[in-house]
Amino acid sequence: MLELKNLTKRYGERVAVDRLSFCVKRGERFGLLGPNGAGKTTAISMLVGALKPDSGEILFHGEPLSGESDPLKSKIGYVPQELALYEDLTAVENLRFFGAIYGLGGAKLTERVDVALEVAGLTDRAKSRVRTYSGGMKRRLNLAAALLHEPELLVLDEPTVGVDPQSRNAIFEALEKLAQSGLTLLYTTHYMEEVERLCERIAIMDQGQIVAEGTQAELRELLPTTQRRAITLEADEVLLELLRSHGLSWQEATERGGLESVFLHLTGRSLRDA
Amino acid sequence: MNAVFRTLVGNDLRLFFSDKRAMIATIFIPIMLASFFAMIFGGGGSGKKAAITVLVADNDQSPVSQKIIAGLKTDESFKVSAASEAQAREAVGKGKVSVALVISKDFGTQSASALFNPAAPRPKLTFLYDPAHNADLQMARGLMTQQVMQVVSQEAFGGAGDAGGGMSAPCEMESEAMVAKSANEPTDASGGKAGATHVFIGMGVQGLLFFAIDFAIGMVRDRRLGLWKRLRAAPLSRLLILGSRWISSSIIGLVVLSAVLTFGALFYEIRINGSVIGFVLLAVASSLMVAAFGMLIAALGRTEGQCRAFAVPAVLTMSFLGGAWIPTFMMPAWIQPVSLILPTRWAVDGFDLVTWRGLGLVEVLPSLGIVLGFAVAFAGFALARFRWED
Repeated sequence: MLELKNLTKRYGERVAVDRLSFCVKRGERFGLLGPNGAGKTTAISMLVGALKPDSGEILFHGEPLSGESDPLKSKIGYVPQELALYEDLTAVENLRFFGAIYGLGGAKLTERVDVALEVAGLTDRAKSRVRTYSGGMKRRLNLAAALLHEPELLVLDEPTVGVDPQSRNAIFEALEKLAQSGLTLLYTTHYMEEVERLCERIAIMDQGQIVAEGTQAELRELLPTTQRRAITLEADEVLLELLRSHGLSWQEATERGGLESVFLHLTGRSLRDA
Repeated sequence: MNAVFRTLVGNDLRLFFSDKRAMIATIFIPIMLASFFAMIFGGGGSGKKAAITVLVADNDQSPVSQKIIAGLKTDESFKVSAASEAQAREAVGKGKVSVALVISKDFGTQSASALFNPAAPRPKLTFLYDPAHNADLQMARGLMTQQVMQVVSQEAFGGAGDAGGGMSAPCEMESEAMVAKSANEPTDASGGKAGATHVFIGMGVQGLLFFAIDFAIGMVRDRRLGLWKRLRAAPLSRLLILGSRWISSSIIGLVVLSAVLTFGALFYEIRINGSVIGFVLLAVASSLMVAAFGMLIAALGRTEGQCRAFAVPAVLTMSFLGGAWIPTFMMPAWIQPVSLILPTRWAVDGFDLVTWRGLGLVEVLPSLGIVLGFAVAFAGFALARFRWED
């Protein structure tokens, strides 16, 4: 569906994106993982047409994406890293505007706005000004604004920066539902757990280049293996002391879920909209 | 008009009108400034000007010099006080008074003979003046010329008290503001309605320029917020995006200018005595020019702070040198040709032509063309240089 070929962008002497190439297949959930400054946002900006590459090519359904008003851009939805919303307008006004710039109007626009509000879980606050929203609500609206024109590919640039776990979870549930309905996702982040949860295939980017690409299992294969043996032993302190005196050593560990799981366990998964 | 273009323009207008406080400030601050300046300079309020204080150092102390001083005192435009020459020099030097007059010794005897004999020694009448108050000097010189001619000729032909025997001044001095078509506008000697009209035009244009700063900062803020990126991700050309922003801001500018001038028309009786079409076209052209100027600032500034730093001095300079504060003809001679490089000068002069000067469309065409030329040049530069990304 999407193919990037040798995409390059320089800022003076610095090469922000260096001959970047990867493909995203239809219906796939593709993750672009990399630390801050790896060139992810620059690559995404070029992909959605917000930035002109110095060289390279972007093909969408085999057709080159070219020109500012290329109709192919209507098939791509974009969730920027920033909260690209008009704070003085309500959620409905924002969504109607972002739908209208893709040529939607009338009943179709109204219907799509309602769907987007539902996806974002903001139907109840649809007529509130965005400036009164919490950070998580704004993030969800930021996502909803990219769905109005029913894109085939949704490009998300670190869409969960600064959100509470409930909103993050809501965003992920929404993305999983969208992916199940056939929407192709290209997701950039530097959070490993997000990619682990959402993406089937991952490209790891650093210093403007792809350094590894594959499924989660394939990427794990890249790590050196460490042999570990687990022994289950029911022993009292006397026996343990005896084993220790014979040179046996062990590490004690208690396995529990990650901190985010604990947080969600304690505070619940329901959204906390102010 | 393209539906997406209408959507973009409509959204900008909605944003402007949704922030009520900002909108009120944008419209009412120029109105308040214009009202304030119009009351001071434009014939509003009581209309009575404050008398100019003139110190007179009479080194002659003759009947002639005393008659001249007495004559000066009869004019309500001046408040005449006696002082020594040293006191007069000190007061003017320190800016305490704007004009002082030094009557030389033997003025009375020498002036009468000098009236009929060009070869006779001429007594000195020295004006000491504060360079910041040239206008006061000109008024004092005018009145003094009249007084000297009357008193000296009386002395030469008939002596003191003979009102009918002396030469009178060669002409009676009076001021009349020249307008092409006064219609029902009584224009007093100090400017009257013409002054108020100029003030409202000037403050209206300055209000537009200050709106351009807000507009530029808004464009840079939208870049920081990622809104440009989101718009650029849609199948919209940069010409469409920036063009719609230009038009929406021009419409807002026109609203601001119309509000200021309507207030002036209602409360300060300013009128379009010349071409109404010329006035409307010039208002549209000025709004387009100022909105394009805002885009130019946004193209030059990387951050909101940089825009403010460029724009405030630029706007103040353009307002002042363009004649928005005081008419350019009252400025030093060297400024007048220099200020022609500014679009504000052409805009303000153009509005003056079709309002209080009462001229027609043909006379305002050069101003109109030049203001539109600046609008296109600013917009072209902004389109070429605008940074879409931080």
